[in-house]
Amino acid sequence: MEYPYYPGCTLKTTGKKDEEAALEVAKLLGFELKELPTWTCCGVVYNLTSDVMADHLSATRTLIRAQEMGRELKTNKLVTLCSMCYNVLKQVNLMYKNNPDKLNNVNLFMDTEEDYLGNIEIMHFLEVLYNDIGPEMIKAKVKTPLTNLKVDPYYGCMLLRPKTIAFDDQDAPHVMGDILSALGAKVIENPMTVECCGAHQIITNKEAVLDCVQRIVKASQSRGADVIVTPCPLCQYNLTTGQKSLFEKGKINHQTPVIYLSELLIISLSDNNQDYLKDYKFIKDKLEERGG
Amino acid sequence: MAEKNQIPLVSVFIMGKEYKVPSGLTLMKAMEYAGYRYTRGAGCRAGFCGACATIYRLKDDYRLKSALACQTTVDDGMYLVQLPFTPANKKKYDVEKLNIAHNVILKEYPEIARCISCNSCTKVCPQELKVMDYVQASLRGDIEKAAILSFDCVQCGLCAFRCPAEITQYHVGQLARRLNGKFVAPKAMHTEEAVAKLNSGITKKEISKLKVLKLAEIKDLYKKRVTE
Repeated sequence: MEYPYYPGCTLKTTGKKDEEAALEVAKLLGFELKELPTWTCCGVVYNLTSDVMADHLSATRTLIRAQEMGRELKTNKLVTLCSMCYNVLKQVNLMYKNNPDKLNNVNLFMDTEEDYLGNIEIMHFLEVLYNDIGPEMIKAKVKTPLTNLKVDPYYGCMLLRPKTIAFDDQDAPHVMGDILSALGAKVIENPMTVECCGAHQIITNKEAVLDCVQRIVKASQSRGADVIVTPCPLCQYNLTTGQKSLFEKGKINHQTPVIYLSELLIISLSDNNQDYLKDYKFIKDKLEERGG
Repeated sequence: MAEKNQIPLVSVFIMGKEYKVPSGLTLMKAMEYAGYRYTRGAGCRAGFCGACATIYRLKDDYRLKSALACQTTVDDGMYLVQLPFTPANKKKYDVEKLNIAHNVILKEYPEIARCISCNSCTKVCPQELKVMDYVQASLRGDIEKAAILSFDCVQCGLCAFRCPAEITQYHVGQLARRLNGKFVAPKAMHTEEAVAKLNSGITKKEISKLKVLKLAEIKDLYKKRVTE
């Protein structure tokens, strides 16, 4: 199975590790993420103004690229790795599905592109893993069970809010936990799992982000998490750099590693996980504890 | 007979005033035919310098079109104006002191983050470059792609006029190409070798021979020269 894949800017810069791991995970699970030949920024945030066309052009162009590639691959799906891109693309797509007049307007405006027909389905990588592959199939492919590893699946907000685009229970999501359980990890329940990490406030109001990170991380640490797992590059960035600042200020007494779900999947599913275990020595130590 | 051989005239509107000019002229020649005299904005007259950016509309077509005045021939009913200069801020940087971090272009030209992917720049480009795509590549630090996509830019500046995000695309592309040449593309070893060879003095012997020849001997040598 081949999926059209939209990386987004972050996956090519600060989130490169996530992309590398996810492309490999896909291969291990028998599918392929095929990058759109050309793509633009997703638009970064979904503009909530009711009558604005310009701010949706980026996402619309990407939907058209997906439509083109989808014809070739015989699918109407488009996969993203970044939660922010998922959110923007899916909201724009939904807006067109609910407002045929707006779809018509944008098609008239973009007179050098083929018309967008409104049929693309935006999926986050996590959704592909859960819905199209399934925890059972993943479990069957585990090479290194993550026994002894206490993981805290952190969702953040972009995958689950607003309700119209959520692919899991908004208050008690289970998709990531189910996948991590399939890998043999011990999944802890953190009530802060759907709290916002502070998102783009990191640029203008770092203190607000630190407040968010402190609440999330403290809840995680008090439940004994060895590692926080996230599918979102911005959450990964904020939780990692935020903990560093909090630690320097003495507001937390240790820093919990924050890694991508895709990286943990590689460690568990691949024979070739040595590089990852070298980078994350604490995981190696935990897995060795199991042997006694 | 003379009438029969005459080139048919077409109507062009230069800054709103109608002129009858022979068909087949370039926009630049048509303007000169109409009486305009270029002191600036004529440039190379060969499609390379980008000094004669022109915008025009055709009758009953809402699209704003663009051209280099020296490269495009007149159409009947064309409304045109030439825009020989684009006011645009150009950053001063020392390429030796830059690097290829993913945000290097973004730091020099932060306004590229304002791109809304409207594609106006691509539509207006007389060189038919994928301008929006190279701005987007610059935004995500893909310097090589930005350099390749912008390679044929003649810096006419029309993209910067059309951009609703007020980006100066052609300067962005130029930075990308400089970074690509400096840090990404393989070094042109043959140039270095050729320069070293010249510096070693391999031409000295031949030149000193030529210096003492008589004019007739030089002419004779020229006639017998071997060309590629």
